[in-house]
Amino acid sequence: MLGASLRAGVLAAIEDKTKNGLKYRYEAIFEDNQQQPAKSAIAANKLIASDKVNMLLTLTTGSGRVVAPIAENAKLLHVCATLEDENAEPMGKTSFWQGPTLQSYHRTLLKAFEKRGIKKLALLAAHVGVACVGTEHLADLLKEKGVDVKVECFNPTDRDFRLPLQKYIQDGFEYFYLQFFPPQTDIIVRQLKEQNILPEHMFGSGIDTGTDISVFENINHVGGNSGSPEFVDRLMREYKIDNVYMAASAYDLIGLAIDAFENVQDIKNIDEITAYIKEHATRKCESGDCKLLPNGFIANEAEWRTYKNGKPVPLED
Amino acid sequence: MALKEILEKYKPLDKGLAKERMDVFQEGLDAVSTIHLTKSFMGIKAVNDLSISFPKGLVTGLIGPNGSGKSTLINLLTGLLVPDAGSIVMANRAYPFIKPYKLRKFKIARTFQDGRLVEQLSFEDNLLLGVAQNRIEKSFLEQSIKPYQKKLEGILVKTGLKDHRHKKAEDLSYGQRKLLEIGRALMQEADIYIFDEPFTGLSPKMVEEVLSIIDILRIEAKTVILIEHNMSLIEKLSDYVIVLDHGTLLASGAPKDVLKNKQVQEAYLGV
Amino acid sequence: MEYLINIGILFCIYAMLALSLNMVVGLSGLISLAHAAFYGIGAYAVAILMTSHGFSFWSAMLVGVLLNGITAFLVGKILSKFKGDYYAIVSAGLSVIVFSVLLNFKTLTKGPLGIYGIGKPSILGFSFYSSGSFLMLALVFVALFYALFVLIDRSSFGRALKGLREDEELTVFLGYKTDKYKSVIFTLSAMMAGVAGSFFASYIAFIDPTSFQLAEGIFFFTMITVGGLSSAFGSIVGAAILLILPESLRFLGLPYETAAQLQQLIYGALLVLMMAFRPQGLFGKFRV
Repeated sequence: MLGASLRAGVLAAIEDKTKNGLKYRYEAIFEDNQQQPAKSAIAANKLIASDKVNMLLTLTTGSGRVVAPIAENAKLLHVCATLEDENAEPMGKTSFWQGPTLQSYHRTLLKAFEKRGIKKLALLAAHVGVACVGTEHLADLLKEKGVDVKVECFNPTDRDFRLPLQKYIQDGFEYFYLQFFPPQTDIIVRQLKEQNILPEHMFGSGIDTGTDISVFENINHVGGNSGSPEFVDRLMREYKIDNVYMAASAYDLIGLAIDAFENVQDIKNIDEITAYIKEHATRKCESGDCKLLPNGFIANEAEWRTYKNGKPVPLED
Repeated sequence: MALKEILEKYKPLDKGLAKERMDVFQEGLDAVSTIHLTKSFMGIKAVNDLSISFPKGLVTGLIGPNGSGKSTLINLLTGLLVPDAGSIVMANRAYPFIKPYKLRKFKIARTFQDGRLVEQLSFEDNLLLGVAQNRIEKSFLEQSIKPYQKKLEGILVKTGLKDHRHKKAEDLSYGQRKLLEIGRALMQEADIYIFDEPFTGLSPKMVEEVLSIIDILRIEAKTVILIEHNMSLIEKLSDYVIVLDHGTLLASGAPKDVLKNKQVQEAYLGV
Repeated sequence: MEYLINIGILFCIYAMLALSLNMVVGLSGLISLAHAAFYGIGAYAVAILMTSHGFSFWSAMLVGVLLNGITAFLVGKILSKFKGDYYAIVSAGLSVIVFSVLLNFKTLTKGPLGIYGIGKPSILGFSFYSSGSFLMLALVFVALFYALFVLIDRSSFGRALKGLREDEELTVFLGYKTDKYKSVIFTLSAMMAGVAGSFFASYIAFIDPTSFQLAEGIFFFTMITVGGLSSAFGSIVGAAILLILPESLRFLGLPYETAAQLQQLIYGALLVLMMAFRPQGLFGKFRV
């Protein structure tokens, strides 16, 4: 379910680049790793050995860190679409990652909260990846600005948030910041609505990964990866997907990789390829501004959006 | 040949020994005894203040109608139950209860009414379970069954089950299971054997085998406690008889006398 | 070839786990769902000690093994109070607790971020960096575990275990302190699972708590149930089947959306079929 949007981004990138005429033909092969490190390793090895791929694309840091050494060993390019801390350790010599940085999320959110004059905020997150750590950091930043905050992180297997939510509401919290993954995303938003919390008072990141988009109507969220409204529209129509999580990042990464392959002398020379990417990574991309950081992270700025009629729409803020 | 005919032909070996040991018993030498032993289940006293003794080196028949407390008494003696009061005397020491894993030390072996075996284990393993090394450190190192081979072969012959040695316990017939259990008891070379209705369900040939086994045990001066319902068996086999009723001792003594006892006969009415 | 070597390494890790679990479930009849926890502790011991404290693979693995030994010994005492289904539930509890610790004790385990950059073992200067050499090392351990299983199976220790798995009361009655036996085999098995975890951490070079959830323990269970309970060979076969089957699906070119679901379906169907028609597994010697 997380993979469909990624796939759409990849295929769209190939489609667009091919329109302009290419030296090589590009084919994408997809493997499911069920979000397990062991499976990522097997899938990567199979793609390298059996399908003889020229590069690998992963989604989320977890898979990325497993595949990076494998790609490096095989002297292949590896790109990873993910949300990360801009100061994270580099993934590997042949790896690049792209996505919104945690810091840009926080900048965007802080601005939004300040603009709305929010003085009391409950921050809830899942114990997955950087979600909890990042949320705790956001809470600290808010505290410095004098906002009354409460942070809580939940196990990824939790399914019922009603009791903690009731407690927060009793304690006077009206505004909620959420950072979860499916299926928790849908569940917690529904349960908040049950408690009569308005969608406009809910803020989130990663919200666009929910399984039922109608649940997120009018919820404000920050994301880094949807691209322009036209891009989103096209992807959702052409590839029949209902969310565009990381699609723009995948689109940008594949586009950049194709450019590299098209412009180097020897596509088997990994040094040439990484050199090209380092040179050209900082540019304007579908995800917004792309800026290559020293640790191999191609950073995007986070974007502020809301969902209207099932589509993410940038907020004029 | 029916059981009746087998018994008519049966002559226990060396009953003369029995007489000697009886005299010794009168002077107080017993294999195991109980002192004011009591055990209740849901308010009913299954064993009620029982103080009895089993003579050493003799075959003692333990009889009584259903519910008289025979099974409970045996389970108490073999540590499967813990008494509410009283004690059990073994090897000249009184115990408030018996720890079942100590039975090997006390050299007591027992069979169960329907044959209690480890079903999915082989014939041989069932026989060896009672005698194999039971100290953890040593049991891991015991890889071969050579030390037990001779005894094992002997038992296979004694129980007439040589042809079935490679079968699993669960594949044996009812009678074969009971014989296997007796075999397991014999492997243990115990001093006290408790057989719980060993003859039920056996073919005539098997009955003869068990009869001869008991004979040999008597000659070897082993104590045998035999629970049986068949009075002719008891009469022919036992040197001594203990009768229980409602958890108490009803009568005890030589088989002929006990079986003629009016009270005993009344207690058995309808059984 | 590289692909096969990598599959081979994973096979070795799962084979080690299957053998360790089969000692407890197959030989001794203890339905343990705790082994994901021991697997995880072994993996994290290597991950933490190698990356943050400069331990060598072997000393880190040893720490993990000892930690598992102590945990299993203590938990085993609690578990011995329970039988059958309750044993399963309480042992599952350990898996849940350990997963929670791995996830939440961020200062030690880095929580959901995981630990990366885990190194490879080396002996006397030779590093098992190449996957081929790593596979050889893993195979050695599989062989060791296999031999250990067979030795236990054939010994009087094994016979006592097989006795107590079916009729513990009878086995006590025949002279065995069954509590001690259960404690020993559970502890030994936990230590072996830790070794498998250590190899896993080193092989994948990045671990996070998601690999050590209760579901993983259920997967181990499926391996031995399909391959055969109470059988060393069955353990190996089970690991092979459950690893190769989903992998072979990759080559069928199935539609990408259904591949993962189909895999789960196959696992489930296999388990049900096995339980219905051959409860002892393909090469098993014991039916629960």
